[in-house]
Amino acid sequence: MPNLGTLFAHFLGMLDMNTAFGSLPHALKLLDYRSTVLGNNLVNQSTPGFQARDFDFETALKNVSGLPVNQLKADAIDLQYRIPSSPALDGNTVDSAVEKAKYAENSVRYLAALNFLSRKVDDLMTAIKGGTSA
Amino acid sequence: MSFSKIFDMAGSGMSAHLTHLNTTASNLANANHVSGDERTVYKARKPIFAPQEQLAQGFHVGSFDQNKGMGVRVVGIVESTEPVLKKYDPSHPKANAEGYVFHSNVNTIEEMTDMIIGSQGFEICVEFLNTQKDLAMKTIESL
Repeated sequence: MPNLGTLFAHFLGMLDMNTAFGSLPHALKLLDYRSTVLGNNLVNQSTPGFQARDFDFETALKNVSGLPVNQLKADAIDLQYRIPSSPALDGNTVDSAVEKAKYAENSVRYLAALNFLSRKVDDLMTAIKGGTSA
Repeated sequence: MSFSKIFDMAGSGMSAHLTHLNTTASNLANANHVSGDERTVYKARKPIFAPQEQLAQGFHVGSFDQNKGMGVRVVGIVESTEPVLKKYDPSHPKANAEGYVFHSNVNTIEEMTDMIIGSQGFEICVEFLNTQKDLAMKTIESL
């Protein structure tokens, strides 16, 4: 009869923490980073010569998927300059309305990813504890 | 996670815009300053903003957690070089020997628009900070 400890160890071995949550941890990290980039644009909205930056989330996620989360490097991200619709005379290319909209979109994505991730964790907890016990 | 850095960034924005509002308030308060000497009359003060760091170099290399130096900073406050208004007013108590007085070069309309820009910038930073705080709290709660 196998003892419980061996069974548990076997189960933990099957559960690879780098893949257990799919690409959600990568997505969260990228979205967190994007909120920094967009926030930097917002904060610099009246800095002369400042050029707004952003990156494409989907492309970045494709580039980093499969990598262990703690080894994500910023050079996987192609940070680009926003093409301004009407640059200011002082060279600033931040359009605060555009940046606010992008930032709101990014926050919603972050919340969604966070929700999915915490449900995944709940699922795993159910699997570990077993069934409907309160 | 780099929450503290994001808060630092929003804080730098709030502080910079507050400096902007302070100089605007000082300019408006001294808009009617009069002096008998061109050099001592009040001149409009303007803060100079600069990004915390030109991120073009250090931004792509290294890990996510090394993206320090985001935000904005005030590199200095300069006095406007606009010409001051020279008026011939010999009865003025501050008139100089030739009978001229000098009025400050503060343009109140320009200062009013600067005030709007400053308060909007401050508001955006506060909004950003609040959203980021909510996200951080939700992340902590879900752990």
